[in-house]
Amino acid sequence: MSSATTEPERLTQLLAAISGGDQRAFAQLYESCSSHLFGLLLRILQRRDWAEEALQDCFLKVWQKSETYEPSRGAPLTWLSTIARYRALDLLRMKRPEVEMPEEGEEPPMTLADPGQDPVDGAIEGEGIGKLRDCMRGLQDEQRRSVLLAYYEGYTHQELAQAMQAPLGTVKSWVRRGLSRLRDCLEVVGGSLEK
Amino acid sequence: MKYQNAKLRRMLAAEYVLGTLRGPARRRFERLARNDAALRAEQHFWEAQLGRLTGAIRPVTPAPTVWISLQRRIAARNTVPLRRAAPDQGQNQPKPAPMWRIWAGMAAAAAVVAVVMVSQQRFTPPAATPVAQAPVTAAAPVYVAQLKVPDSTMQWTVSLSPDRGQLTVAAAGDYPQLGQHSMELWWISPQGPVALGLLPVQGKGSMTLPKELSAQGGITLAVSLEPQGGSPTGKPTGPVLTSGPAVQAA
Repeated sequence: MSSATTEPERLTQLLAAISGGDQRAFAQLYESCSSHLFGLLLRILQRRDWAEEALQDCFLKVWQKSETYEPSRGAPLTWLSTIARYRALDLLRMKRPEVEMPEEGEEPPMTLADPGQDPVDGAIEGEGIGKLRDCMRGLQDEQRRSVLLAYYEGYTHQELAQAMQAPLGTVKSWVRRGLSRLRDCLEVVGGSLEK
Repeated sequence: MKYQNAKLRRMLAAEYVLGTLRGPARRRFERLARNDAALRAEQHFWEAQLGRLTGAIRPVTPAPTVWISLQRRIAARNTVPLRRAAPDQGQNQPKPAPMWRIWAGMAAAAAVVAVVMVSQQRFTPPAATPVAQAPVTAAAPVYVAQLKVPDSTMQWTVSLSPDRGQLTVAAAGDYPQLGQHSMELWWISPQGPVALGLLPVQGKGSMTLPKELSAQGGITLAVSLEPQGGSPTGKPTGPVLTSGPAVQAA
């Protein structure tokens, strides 16, 4: 499989072409970004079949609404990741209450064999996130951990409380203080917001 | 209202993007943000910032079936025609993509190049390619395909001669997830997938090709995961592991 690039300029061009109905640009965008988004969806949804559904939903939305992309929402891949994450969060809400059994005749979902990577430790190593990384480092351990767990695993406050073995109220305030500090730090270091 | 509180608004936007804002509160935020530029700006700020975190996640290639289903869904919805007709063609009723095109689309998941190829097949009459037909020699043309299963080392080199009705395949690598399953090879004909035979997991094998298999319009092959012994229905029942075009080698 070709190692298609995810350079922002190229992806921005593809999105523009897609908004004009360019099917080939759509295939190229899929080729370039689907593995990134699928990795993200697998991590949040933990089930291959759900992640596949969410990936399709995400690209369907891109096909229909690529003209709504604005650079203020981050690089194209960031924007796509946002769409994918929101879809995953909605799916979790719809599906988690269900009994997690495959229906008759359905392929059992493949289990995830990716236990080696702890996103909380790995996150800070990502590329091109210098400012964010610095600000993340300024958080207290529990604050940083709860923010990253919520982001990467799609945890609710309740699930965070379980994962971090802390009372619900405590976890909520970790998240809020963490985000609040992060916000202040990002703004000081160079975040630009009109308000 | 609570939403007038600037600090709370900021926090709601942050928790919306982070994902901890759930349920009705999440929907409520979306409704509010739709008509509130400042709230949206706050939301976009967090999307751009936190979105950078996704760079640390290991990419995983989705199965080719996902691309096929996606195309099928786009065709079924007809929100935007898959291939926009020329604006003035009289018949402007968008039609769902025919099955063969959806199946042919599988190749696109393996290589975008295939999309171009399929489009060309659609519009180029076979007779208009005299170059390929020029050397009319006694030798039957041979087509080869390299089929690799993503996220594994399993792959096959397939060579086939439609004129002789013969196909040979050599397996390499390993597919530990196979378990009590078989892997079946399919020719994606204009009418849909046609079973060719079970693929060896190691070593070589050969298969007899159906008479109707012709190279006209290109040959697309696919591999599906099936119950041991092959698909009980004659059509693929399990996930498509890989697919790709066979190209003329001799």
